[in-house]
Amino acid sequence: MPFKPSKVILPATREEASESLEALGGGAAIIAGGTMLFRLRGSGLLDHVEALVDLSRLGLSYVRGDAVVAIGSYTPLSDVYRWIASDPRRGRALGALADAIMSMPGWQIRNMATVGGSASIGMPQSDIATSLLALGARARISGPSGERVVDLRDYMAGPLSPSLRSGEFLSELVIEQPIGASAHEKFVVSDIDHPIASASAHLALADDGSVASARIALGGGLRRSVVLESPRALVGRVPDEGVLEEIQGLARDSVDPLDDFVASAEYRRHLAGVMARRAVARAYARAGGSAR
Amino acid sequence: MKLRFTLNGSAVELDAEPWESLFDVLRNRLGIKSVKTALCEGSCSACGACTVLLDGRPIYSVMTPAYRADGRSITTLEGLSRGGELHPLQSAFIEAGAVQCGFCTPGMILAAKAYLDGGGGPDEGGIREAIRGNLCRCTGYVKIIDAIRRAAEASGGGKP
Repeated sequence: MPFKPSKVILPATREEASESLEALGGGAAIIAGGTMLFRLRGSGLLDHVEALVDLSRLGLSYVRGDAVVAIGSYTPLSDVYRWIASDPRRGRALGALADAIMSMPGWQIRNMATVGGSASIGMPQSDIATSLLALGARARISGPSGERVVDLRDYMAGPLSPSLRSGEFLSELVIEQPIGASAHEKFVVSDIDHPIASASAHLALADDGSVASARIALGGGLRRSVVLESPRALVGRVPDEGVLEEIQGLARDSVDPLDDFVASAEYRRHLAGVMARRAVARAYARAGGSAR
Repeated sequence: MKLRFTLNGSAVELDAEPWESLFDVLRNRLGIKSVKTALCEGSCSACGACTVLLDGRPIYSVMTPAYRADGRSITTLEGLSRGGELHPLQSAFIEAGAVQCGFCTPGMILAAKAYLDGGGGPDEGGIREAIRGNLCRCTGYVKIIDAIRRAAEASGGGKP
């Protein structure tokens, strides 16, 4: 087995975590839930890892807040889901994240995988990351010189390579003013596969039922995640069939899809549009809107 | 690293390497044969055969570092019967004919145990979601769901 780190470091404070990460440099791998790390044990991608720096004892498992929702990076997805599901207002506003969690096959995964790990893997295939992008999540990063907060889009620099400086780690996801409603949609061949295409939509409605602001995130088999901020096709309008048709076209034209044995680029592009359309329609219905 | 944890009610102490999974330790070193691997080479297929309960929550032992067990409580199928008496879920699986080849059965029963212990009831939707992380390639799930429903009804689960 090529993956043979010689030690596990279980820091009890953030300072200790940063010191360990700085000292180990590129030989360190940060471990949260561990699902991706242990899945990649035999892949060769982790052969350089000399030590695991484990986030489990830093008190980073929590979900709290109302106007600003803070989710500790080590929080298992199952805890996040239960917190959202316990309150109908949360269920509407953070519905995309709840949908994404429940779209994962089974409680075993949800009890292990963490929010921070899903964001840090940085792959468009992650339903959790796609939903967080639509919710405008920001990443709170802890490091040797304190904390900084960046847009999750900027944190997700590439697959398995989040934008972190020496000694830094993701401590929290922050979702500001979760209002309105959101929804996540994906297309998979079977429950356990990565989605061929996925989309999350987050909408805030004006008093007249039109869309006041919107954010749509596209994921699945894409070269990179796409975020559409308040597309003109949607804002100020009611998402009736004509508007949804425009959204479908916009999403289709916005993606850079993979082309492989699972699905052709053209098929993924088509599905990106369909998923965006469905996510917007479901978010709108969840917000209490009605497009007659 | 030195680990101390509770396995099916008994204290266990052993040394584990950082790269060892909980599965490696349970099956290969502690002789727990109810946990199995199936489709995990390179990529987990969420078959659920390696399911164990960690502090009562179902997890995949193949994807869990062994050191995470330190100070915690692990339950495997071997820990369910008491004094030669089968757990009600085990009895229900036999009564309903929910076992064919038996490969998935330990994981199914542990996932179902977590569901019932968490207050889950006999509704089919809840049961299906509870075993969504477990694959069966023989039964078509009908009798497994029936078995869990019987156990839920017998225990009065899901009622306020």
